[in-house]
Amino acid sequence: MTDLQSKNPDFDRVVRDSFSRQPFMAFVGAKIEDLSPGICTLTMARREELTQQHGFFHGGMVGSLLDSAAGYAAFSLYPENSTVLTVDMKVNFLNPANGTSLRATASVINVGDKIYHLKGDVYSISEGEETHCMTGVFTMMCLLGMSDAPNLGRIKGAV
Amino acid sequence: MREATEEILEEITPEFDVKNFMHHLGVELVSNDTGVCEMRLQYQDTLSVAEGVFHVGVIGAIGDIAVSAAAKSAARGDGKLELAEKKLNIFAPAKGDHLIAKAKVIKSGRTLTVVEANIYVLNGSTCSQCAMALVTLISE
Repeated sequence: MTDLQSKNPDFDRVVRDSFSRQPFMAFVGAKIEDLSPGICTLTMARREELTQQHGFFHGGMVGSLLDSAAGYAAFSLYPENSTVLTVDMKVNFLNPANGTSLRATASVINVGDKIYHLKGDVYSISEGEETHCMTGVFTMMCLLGMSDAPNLGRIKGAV
Repeated sequence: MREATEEILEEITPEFDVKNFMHHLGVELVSNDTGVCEMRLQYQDTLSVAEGVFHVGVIGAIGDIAVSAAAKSAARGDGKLELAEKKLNIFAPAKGDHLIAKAKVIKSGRTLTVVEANIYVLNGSTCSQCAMALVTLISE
């Protein structure tokens, strides 16, 4: 989709604030590299605790990074006083994620009333070389009138 | 991009059953190149779920046909490719006069091939995406 418009003029601050409050993303050292309406790119460096038995990034880690990128790509279009939840995801593992860092980019391909569809890709980076290691499709829900703040997400009308 | 011909159709849909099914639905090859394929299907009432709306099964079918052809055109050997797994996301009801499926190979490996298909509905002069499929094929 081209020329996506956010329903929140303050989307950049709102998304970065929400991202900064995700303990898991902080724990793995993920950062927002790029953000525009409907598109989000996250990066993270390799750490041994995040790898599997062959020394590659754990598949769940790759999927988690892409899920977060997709969530924030969708959230960047949402109106004020709303939050985001992943409803559904499907990924294909294309190559081992054996680089020194990962870059995940997700973009919105369809905007509905409550349901947003996205696609995303992860590249494993090693000495400037990029390997396409994952592709996936995501369904995100827009929860209107629900706060993005911790523990309030499930309380209707909470701000 | 290569324009559709009988020879290309023969090359990318070698199995008789696939062509038979394509003809049964009325699916036509629009264009093909290595790893990409576009198919087109005109609306008819026998394919509908409601007046003027394509059945979701038909959206899946044209997607599969385009995906197999794109995968076949990128395949390394002569081996047969079988669909192993797929996910289809529907964005909106496919109301229109034609369906268009554009498939693109994401990865063509020794064993597995991953293909993405974007499916559009044409309604007069407006074209909108109504579905997307992400498919894994396995080579025998």
